[in-house]
Amino acid sequence: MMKRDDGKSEMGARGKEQSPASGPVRSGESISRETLLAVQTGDPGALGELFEFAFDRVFSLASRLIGNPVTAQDVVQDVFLKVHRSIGSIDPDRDPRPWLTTITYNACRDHWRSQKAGVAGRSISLDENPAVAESLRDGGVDPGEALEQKEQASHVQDALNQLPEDLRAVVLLRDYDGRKHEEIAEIVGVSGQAVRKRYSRALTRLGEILKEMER
Amino acid sequence: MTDSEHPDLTPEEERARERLRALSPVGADPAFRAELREQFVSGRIDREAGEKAAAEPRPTAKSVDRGKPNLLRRRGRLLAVAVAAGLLALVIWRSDRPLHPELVDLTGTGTVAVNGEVFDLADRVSISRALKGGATLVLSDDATLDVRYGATFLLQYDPNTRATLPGPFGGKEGRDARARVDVGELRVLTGPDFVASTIRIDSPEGLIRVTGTMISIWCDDTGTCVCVHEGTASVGVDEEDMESVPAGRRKVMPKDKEPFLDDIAPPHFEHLLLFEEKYKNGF
Repeated sequence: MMKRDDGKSEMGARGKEQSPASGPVRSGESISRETLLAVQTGDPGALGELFEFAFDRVFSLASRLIGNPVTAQDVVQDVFLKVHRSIGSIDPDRDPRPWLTTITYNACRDHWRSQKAGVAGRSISLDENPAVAESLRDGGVDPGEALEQKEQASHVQDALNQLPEDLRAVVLLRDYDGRKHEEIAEIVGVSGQAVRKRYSRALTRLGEILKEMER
Repeated sequence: MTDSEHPDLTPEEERARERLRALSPVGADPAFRAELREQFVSGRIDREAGEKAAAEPRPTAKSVDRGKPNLLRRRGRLLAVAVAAGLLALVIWRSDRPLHPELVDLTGTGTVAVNGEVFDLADRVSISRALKGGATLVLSDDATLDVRYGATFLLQYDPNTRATLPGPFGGKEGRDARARVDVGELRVLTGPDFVASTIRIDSPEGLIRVTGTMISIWCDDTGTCVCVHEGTASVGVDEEDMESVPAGRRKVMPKDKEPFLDDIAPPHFEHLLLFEEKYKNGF
């Protein structure tokens, strides 16, 4: 946890907690202890701040884990329901991100268990990203480059969808959500050694699938 | 990007990781985002979930075809009630039947003695027949045996293990299994039907209470070592000494020293990983 100049604690800055493998899911904003205390009382303004702090992270992670943004909507709704039901017990002195990641992972796991049919069909691409479309319109990114990025991301997601769920979860939590092995062990409920092993297996398999796809 | 925890990545693995890290955040449908925000901030998300649960459809008598004459309708109802009662009886009968050990896999070229009768591992049919709840097992130095009790739990016995299988499990026998390992190594994996069940495993140095997990138990003449790979297990020298052992840790109960907690030992960990890999899609 980082301390601000005024002595108030500020959650959410990665600082010391940053993983060496911090991935692309980043929260640009932090959330203060005062906000989290207000969240505990159900203050609508504070709840709005918590939502803004959490939504992009939760939605992105759930979409990558599930492999389909439409199905992910149900999962994300479930995550926010669980968050809402836990606001009274939120710890204002702790960075809420690991907690959000755990709730998101658990909701995805519940979804996998209820489906058992594996990843849903990719009727909608995850990488039809409004942010990319916007930057294309604004001229911020070269259209050719953006298209290539989109295609590459789509390949990676297809490869991820071919991994077993336990391997997909570990590799995404590590390299997309930026969690450390020990944090992942706590989230997933296995030992740190098991996480390291699963991570290695996932990368090997992912490398093979991507190589195969590019042939 | 270098990674001190994974310094030996192949170029393909390195490339896969870089591409993973380059994945962009996924954008949500703005309408969905706005609606969910409103629900979350106003508390409607919780109220509506509660209302939805309360409004779950319940079976009603309206499903009966009201266009039919009274007599036919009454007969239809009687038939439906009879069929439902029959199905219910079948379900109760089936769920009340205790589970017996079922052979899942045998590996190696050695032998296994079941209640003192020695079988060659190639004789799968006889071994299968001989396996009964409560039977004693002695595996030779090249024999591994995997047994399951329905979808409740699976036990894997290593070479040179001497152990006693749990008795019949479930139904009128209850859901508290009791097994024993005297020497050797045993791994336990619980399955989807393990709800509200326990397995107590006794060893010469203590007891292990499994309540949904993946563990290994290893015994020799120096003591007992219990490694927890997933979930938690209660382990102690006796009922008063029981302590919770979390994933990644082991409890060692030496024969002539005080028990202690430590990280999982590498050889047992490797065995657990192979076990996990073998049954990752269930058993």
